[in-house]
Amino acid sequence: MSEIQSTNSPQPQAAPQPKPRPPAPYSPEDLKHLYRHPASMLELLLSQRERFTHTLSEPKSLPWLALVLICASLVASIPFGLLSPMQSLWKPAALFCGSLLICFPSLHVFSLFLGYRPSLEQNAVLTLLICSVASTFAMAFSPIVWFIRISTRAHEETVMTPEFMAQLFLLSALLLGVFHMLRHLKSWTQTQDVATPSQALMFCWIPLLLFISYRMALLLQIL
Amino acid sequence: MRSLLSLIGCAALYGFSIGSVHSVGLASWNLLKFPGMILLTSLLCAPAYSFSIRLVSEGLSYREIHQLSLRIFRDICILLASFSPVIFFLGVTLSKPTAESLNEYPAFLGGNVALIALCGCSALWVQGRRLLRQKQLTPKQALNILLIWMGLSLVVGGQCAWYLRPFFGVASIPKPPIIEGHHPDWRGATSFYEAVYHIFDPPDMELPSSAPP
Repeated sequence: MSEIQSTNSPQPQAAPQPKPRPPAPYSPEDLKHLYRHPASMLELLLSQRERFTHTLSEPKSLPWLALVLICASLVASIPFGLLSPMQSLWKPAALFCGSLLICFPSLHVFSLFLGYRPSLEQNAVLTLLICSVASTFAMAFSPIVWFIRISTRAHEETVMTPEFMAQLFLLSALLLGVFHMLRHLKSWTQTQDVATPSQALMFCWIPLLLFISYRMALLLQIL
Repeated sequence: MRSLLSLIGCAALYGFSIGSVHSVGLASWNLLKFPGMILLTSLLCAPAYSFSIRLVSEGLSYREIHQLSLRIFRDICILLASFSPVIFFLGVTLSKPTAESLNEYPAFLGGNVALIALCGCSALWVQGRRLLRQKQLTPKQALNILLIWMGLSLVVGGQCAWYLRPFFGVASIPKPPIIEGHHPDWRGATSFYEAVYHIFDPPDMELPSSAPP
């Protein structure tokens, strides 16, 4: 009887597993101390996507986050500039940041015009992510570009010069920056209740950024 | 450390066996050059591996990424070294190139390229399965990680191999340089990338003046 009772009685349902808590956003204190921990800065740029997108909703943290991204954009590309055939401290940073500076107003104005309500800081941080990640990858590619420069002796008829290979790596770094920003934008859009810059607007703006980057590269004699 | 020593030892063994197609001298230099090529590729690509793979998957730390890279290279070297007796035997017994004909040399060369591709794919397959099992990554993440590794290694390793060539050596050229470096190949290519480009767009080769029109 007890066996029948035990088989007929309803099984107690397992308690539903609680949803994992989202990671805490970066506080201004966390961001101020990042310069002491370069590894943490790399984590912020490359892998802490959820924490980064939560920080976009923290107005007090945004200026510091923007400062971190600007510093990364300016400093990280220095090795590439020095080790590649262009042999210039400032040109890669000028390419990434200068192109963004030129194109940013159009993005912000259009996003306001179309009724999206990101703040200036939020838009700036999202787009600065492109420059900072591009500079970081330029830094990662710098030993490769250096090796190609010293191991190749190009002649007049060839296409595959060390300069061409360096340009390819620079383009790859920029595209990786764009790709990473789009992933963050998608994550952020999914967590927000208010309208955010749509991915469609970004897809229209990114070709403009790439075109201006091309023109900037011509001006800086990188191409 | 053990992985590193296995890598160096097995790479040296394979390098010696492929150099045997030319001479003991070239084979002996390959004891240094072949492991050197692999270590140089690994070192140059290390930052790029770290950042690219970290971008794709947060499941691997920087240390784990470097360990993965070392394991893949080690596995490839071990698999290649297992063929060393075969390669050595073929290298010393094949019909050597002469001034008139390359004889069996192109087949030896092509066979080794296919072998490297086979061992590379096998090592990637095994490490991919390990990633899925131990790190609980999705198949897409594991595939992206391995493709990133392969792409960077081919781009950089190709140029390293180009600069450090010859590893095989045509026997009819008695004293090849130890490292060709910048020296152009028979088509005038001065880099690996240019050599690949010439496969798709061969340059016009000038005929010698004594050749009939």
